[in-house]
Amino acid sequence: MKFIYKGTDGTKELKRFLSQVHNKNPKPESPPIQNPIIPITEDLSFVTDENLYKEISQYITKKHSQIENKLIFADNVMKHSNPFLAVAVDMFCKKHYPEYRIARQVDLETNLSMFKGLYIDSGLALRNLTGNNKEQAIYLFEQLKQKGIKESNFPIWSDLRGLELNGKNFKLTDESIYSTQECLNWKSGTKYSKINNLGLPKEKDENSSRQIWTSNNALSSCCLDWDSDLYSDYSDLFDSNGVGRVVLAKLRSS
Amino acid sequence: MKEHKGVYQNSTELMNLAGQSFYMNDFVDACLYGRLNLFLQGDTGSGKTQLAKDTMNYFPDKSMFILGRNDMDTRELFQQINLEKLRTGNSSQELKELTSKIKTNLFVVDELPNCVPVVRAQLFNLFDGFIEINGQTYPIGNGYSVGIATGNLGQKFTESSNDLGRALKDRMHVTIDTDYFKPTAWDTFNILSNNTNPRVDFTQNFENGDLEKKILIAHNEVTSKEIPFEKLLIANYLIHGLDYANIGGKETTKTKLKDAWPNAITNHGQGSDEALVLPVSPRAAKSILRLSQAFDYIAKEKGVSEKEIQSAYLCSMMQAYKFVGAYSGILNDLAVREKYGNDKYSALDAIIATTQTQFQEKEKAIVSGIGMINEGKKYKKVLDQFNGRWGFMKNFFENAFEQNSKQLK
Repeated sequence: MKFIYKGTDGTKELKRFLSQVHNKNPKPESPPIQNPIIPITEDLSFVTDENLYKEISQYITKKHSQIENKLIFADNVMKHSNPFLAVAVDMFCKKHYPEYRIARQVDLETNLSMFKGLYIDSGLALRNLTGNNKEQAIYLFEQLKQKGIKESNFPIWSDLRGLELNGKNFKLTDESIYSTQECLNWKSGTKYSKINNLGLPKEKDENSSRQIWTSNNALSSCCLDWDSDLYSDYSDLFDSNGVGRVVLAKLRSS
Repeated sequence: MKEHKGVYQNSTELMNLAGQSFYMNDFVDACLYGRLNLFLQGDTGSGKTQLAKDTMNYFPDKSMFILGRNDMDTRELFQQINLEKLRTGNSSQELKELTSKIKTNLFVVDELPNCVPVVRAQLFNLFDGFIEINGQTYPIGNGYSVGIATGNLGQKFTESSNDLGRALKDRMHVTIDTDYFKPTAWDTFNILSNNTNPRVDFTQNFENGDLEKKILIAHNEVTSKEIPFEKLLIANYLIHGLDYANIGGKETTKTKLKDAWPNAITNHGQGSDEALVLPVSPRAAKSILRLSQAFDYIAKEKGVSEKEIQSAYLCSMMQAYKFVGAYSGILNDLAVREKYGNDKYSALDAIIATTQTQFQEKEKAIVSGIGMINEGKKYKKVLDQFNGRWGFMKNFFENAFEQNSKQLK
């Protein structure tokens, strides 16, 4: 019996796939590739170049061995995401391809339809020092304290871009963007439509379909979710699945 | 909008397939072509009874209107007294004969939820094409029978919560919320300017030509046409792919989780379709395939080419999924209430967006799998492309490969 899918018997695609698989030449210590092919949709893109994925993957395995490298390359795109992986990719870009960085929440807002059916980690929400992930929350707050931030300034939003990893903790850098964002303490499920300069909910809007989901975790990961809601209530910072993506943004100034 | 003779008017678009708008009357046609029982849910005055009544014009002498009530016995509708036997017959049973109503093709039941379960069961039997009288079953409609029922389920209705919900889920194949797809202001203007009778109009019978024959031919074509392979894969995804769940890195299925679903799903799974929707049942998958085939048939009637229809298989299946699934008990009611303002169709639109992304991404992998089967050689690397919610495809490809290899020998 001959199977046909979308008008093809698959022979051509099978050949292409097998030649791709057989030509794989693992180079664990290879230097970063010079000219990565990163297809750009406006200024945002997924990692669709397998060589670039390999570079990223090797970098994470080598430099950030304390976090589990869950990134995979399948269906011609790099899959999986959690805040640790996203920050690691940002650090990789900063070092090897400074014209690219991970997309911030405000960048994602420019093309929401691109992320339908996927989730993209974009920030952290620091709300207290006693709830879930309090160790990471305290570590982050100790750094914020040195910059004049007090507990009374909670809840704090921090973009993932510009953070660095120190083991299983997040470290601020000069590039880090953080500020008090009251929306992180809104009732979970509050609807909104307008966003502020960080891409976060500006004011409540009962007539909108977009919602922000909140919690009482000490530190939560925040992501744009599959139907354009903003989730700021995830407690498992290491959670990741195949519909997660790390999105790259080409810096306009470059 | 397609010419539709009747009192009911509604030019609100319910869906778009290959560039063609589909309206309420197209959906009724699709259900008739597919012989799928249709439940029109809606508030009083939403026009559902008028729409159902208009549909009876398709089968002028072979349709029956039944007002749902508790004390009815559907068997009485099909029996008459034989006057000849009245003189000679020995028992009351002998005096009764089945009437010509046994030829009825379309049953319209108004206010179905008003019936007690035993009456509902009798009505569903009529929809399915038979009646039971004194332990004997009699076929109805000469091989074609279908039901349209109307009713108001109310805002707090959930499919799994009561007996009515389970009955509708089992026996009504497609449910449309007529409140959601209300006629436009222009329709209302036309309706009001033509008729100010506030009652459902039972007097106007429209000559619709040879519609009865047309529907039976369409039904025959829709049901006899081979189901495209692409659609069978999509149906498999809806049954097996949407059953997949990952809890703390451990793979499982929602079916196995039973009542623990959706609470056991946390974090990223919680914000995705993993916690929003259950897989469809094989029975619902059959309805989806049948409805999708009927949509394609109507698209062709509207002038869409075969090629365009083929490239819109996913869209056609997803729209069928939306209208079969919305009231079939697969949605997480709490999430629909909290996240989608109790709007089941919006929730399903979000699930459809994910499904489309999934199929787009997996297309090359599927095609390479097809190539593997056709070539007759098994490649682990090809099979390894299918994991997570796509794990079911590994099983499909392995079995298809074995079957093909046997045939080649």
